[in-house]
Amino acid sequence: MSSSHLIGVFEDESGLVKAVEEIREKDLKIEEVFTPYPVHEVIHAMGTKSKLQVFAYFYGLFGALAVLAFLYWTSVIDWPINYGGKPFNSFPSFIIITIILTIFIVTVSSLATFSGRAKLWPGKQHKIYDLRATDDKFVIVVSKDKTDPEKLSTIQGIMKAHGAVEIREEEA
Amino acid sequence: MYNREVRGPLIIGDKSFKQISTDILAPTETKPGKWWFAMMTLATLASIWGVYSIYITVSKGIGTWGVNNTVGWGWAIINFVWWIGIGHAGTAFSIFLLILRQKWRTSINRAAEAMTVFAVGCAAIFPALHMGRIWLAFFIFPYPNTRGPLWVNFNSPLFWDFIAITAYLLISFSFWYLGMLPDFATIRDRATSKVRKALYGFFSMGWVGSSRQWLRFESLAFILGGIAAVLVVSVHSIVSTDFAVSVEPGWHTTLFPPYFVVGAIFSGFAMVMTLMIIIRKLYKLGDYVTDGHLDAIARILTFISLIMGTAYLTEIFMAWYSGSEYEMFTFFKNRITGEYALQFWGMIICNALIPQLFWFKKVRSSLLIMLIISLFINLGMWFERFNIVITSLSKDYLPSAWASYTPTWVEVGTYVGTIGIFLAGVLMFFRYIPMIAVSEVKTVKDIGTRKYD
Amino acid sequence: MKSIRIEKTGVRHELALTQEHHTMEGREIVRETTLEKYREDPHSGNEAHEHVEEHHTSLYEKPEFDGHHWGLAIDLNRCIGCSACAIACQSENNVAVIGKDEVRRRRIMHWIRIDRYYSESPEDPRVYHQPVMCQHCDNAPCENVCPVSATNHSNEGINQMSYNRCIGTKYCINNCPYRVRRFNWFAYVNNREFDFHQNSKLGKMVLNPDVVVRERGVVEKCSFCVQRIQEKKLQAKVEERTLQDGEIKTACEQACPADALVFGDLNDPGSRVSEMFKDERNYHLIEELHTLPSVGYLTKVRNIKA
Repeated sequence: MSSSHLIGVFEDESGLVKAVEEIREKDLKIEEVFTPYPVHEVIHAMGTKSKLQVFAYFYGLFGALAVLAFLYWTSVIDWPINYGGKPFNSFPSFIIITIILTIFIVTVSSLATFSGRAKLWPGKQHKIYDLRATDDKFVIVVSKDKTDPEKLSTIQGIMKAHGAVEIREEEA
Repeated sequence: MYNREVRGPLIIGDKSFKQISTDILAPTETKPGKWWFAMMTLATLASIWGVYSIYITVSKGIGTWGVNNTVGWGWAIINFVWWIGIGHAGTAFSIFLLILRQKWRTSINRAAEAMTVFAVGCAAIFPALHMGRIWLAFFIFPYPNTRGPLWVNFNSPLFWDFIAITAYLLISFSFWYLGMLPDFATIRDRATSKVRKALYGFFSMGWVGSSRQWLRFESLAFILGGIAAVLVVSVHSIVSTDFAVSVEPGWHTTLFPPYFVVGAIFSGFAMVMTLMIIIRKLYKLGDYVTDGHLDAIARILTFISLIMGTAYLTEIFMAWYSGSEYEMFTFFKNRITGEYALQFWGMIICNALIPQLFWFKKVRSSLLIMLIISLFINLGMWFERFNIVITSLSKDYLPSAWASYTPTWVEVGTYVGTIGIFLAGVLMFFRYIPMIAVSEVKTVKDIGTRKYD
Repeated sequence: MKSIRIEKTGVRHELALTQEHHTMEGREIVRETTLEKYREDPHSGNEAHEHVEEHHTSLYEKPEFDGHHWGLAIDLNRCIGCSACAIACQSENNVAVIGKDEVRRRRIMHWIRIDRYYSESPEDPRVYHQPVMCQHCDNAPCENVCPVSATNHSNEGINQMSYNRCIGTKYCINNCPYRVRRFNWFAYVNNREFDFHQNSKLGKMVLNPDVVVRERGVVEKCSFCVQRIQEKKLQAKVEERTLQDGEIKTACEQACPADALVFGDLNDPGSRVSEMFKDERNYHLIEELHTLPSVGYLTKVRNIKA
């Protein structure tokens, strides 16, 4: 865990985006960018990808198959019961419940995955570098321990060039 | 895509990010006005009556209601469907407008989703309450047990309904809550008192707005949005199968699923309109909920009202066209004329005719008239559900079993009680949760203004 | 007789009626014909039955039952509307007495009721009686809708109700076109507000030990006296013989002074009930719904000039 950081604060989106893109083009490492709302260029430039949607797809696929299998097993194999003269395997009426249960399964498991991957759960505390990042400021955080001093100064330069209103170092 | 010349800016008054946070978070950071306490008292009194009615129902039995051997479902089911319908707007609003890339939704979706959660919560009370043995309600879960194991009847629309409502409540709550995470974090980071910091810190779940969090946030929002879109359509379709799958005249129709979904969105949008007018007036958020927003809702309501009118006519036509004497009796002798004509015509006038006033620009720009019409729509939707539930049951196949139905004070009490609970929920929402999605509004603040060009 | 006077007391009394509508609304519920027409054509008055049979189509196969298939035939010509069947059923099946107040709210508990209709002019009405109990439909609409499987079909064609499983959604009541399902609106046992026989130790001695007493909040209905069926089946098995037709008598059948009700096995081609089902006069109540009832009615034949 690094403990000292270089923090650059921006007033608006456009300066931030340009700064982040330039830093990344030079193959320099940014620890994290904090914004009050999602800025797609930044997310793109940071290069992290989310596999949540792929996960959700498979949750849904396996969920639907599991539900259908469960319905068939309970109504045909385990204890077939005659309701109103319908066949035990009354597939058309199983479809509805399969759709809804699949949605249910996808939701619950996606939420669980999200909570685990984004590390968000009730009462969880994250390190906050700048309180204003959730309000009206855009913040770039670079780890000092993992970056060479000369690269640090390049980063500092880029930040300044794109209109950072505040650049400070923080030991923690 | 968004034509400023035609439609004007989404947010009025060229605000800074800071200003947006301050404006929208103001109600959560300042003491509420006298009207808030007055309304809260009213809501609490109503809820107390509701809780007392629930106590009577559960301790003495369903016999305390007006339902009888012929009309087995009374106000409880009417209110259930009514609340579920209202609960459709939030998600419909969020999801469909999101899919259609209607950016103007950002000012409204939070309140609409809040309304959904409270309305669905209120709705869920009724099916539980109308059960004869509520203490055995867990029988409806298909869990392994020592009775065989005896599973449940997967063919029963009530079972579908139960799962659908549970899923809907879960999804709309998560969708709503997910959107609130960044805003809770904003409140946390702006907070000056320790208690607020700790409280909102707990509920913000450690949100810091990092790019990794935003990435997953958007990913999850996409997934939830995608499946909620399916769910919105299917939940009320499933509610309609409670009726459509049966053999009762007036219930047994394939028209019901789309008719119910559209009706639900209709009543929900009307409720959104009511709420937005109140928010705008009482919290002076006119810069965010603009005339344009209300105008757009009014236009949608006009259109849906036409669909409703068509559905009513289709139903009547099909009753005649089917040639079934039972269907004809239900529609022509029990609804259009007869014992329940008041509810039928109430439904037609409130749902199909009154909203047509929105064709006039004057009507669409008067807050008061819009408020009144939106309340009329919800009254009309209640009449519609009354029509469906009561008239079909009271006079069906064997005339020997025909009976009328009048509610008792216990049923009225549970209904008033849920209105109280809903109102209390909405008031708490006004007080403690940002009414408008702050982080989302920040993304659209420049749309439609000069700055964007 | 001179001592009898009639005067207004000013007291109002709300009558407790189990049936408030008096005509059939032109529906073919009780089918009738005249003797003359019947002699010409035994199908007369019952033409609709053939028409319905012809047009019965279904996605599903017609349900078949391997062993017994219990059925009940009711000859409307014999029924005199005395309600003895209703009382016999009530004492056999521990049906609760619920009092006038509940009846005024249109709640009844009888598992078998006598429907009464009038036709012709109000001055000189013709009266129809029709005993209606659970029709034990092979395509029962009530069974499909119960979420917890509390009601389903036995392999002997009986629409059975498991009280212990019922959670009281009342969906089955609504979806029964015959409205023969009954709901326990209150606790009718050990409840001071319903001070009838089930509230005292002495009164409870009239209860039939072979039948359970139902709890508040569950649905109940005619079971074809399943306890009697089981008893006779067991007896036959112990004596190592086959069940004879007429051996099992439901309470309503046993009490009927006019022998209007006949219970038996529909799978036994020689049974009385099978014979009656083959009769030209036989029809089923609201048969156009394709509920396939196991209860049949025989057209009423009146000896009048048309």
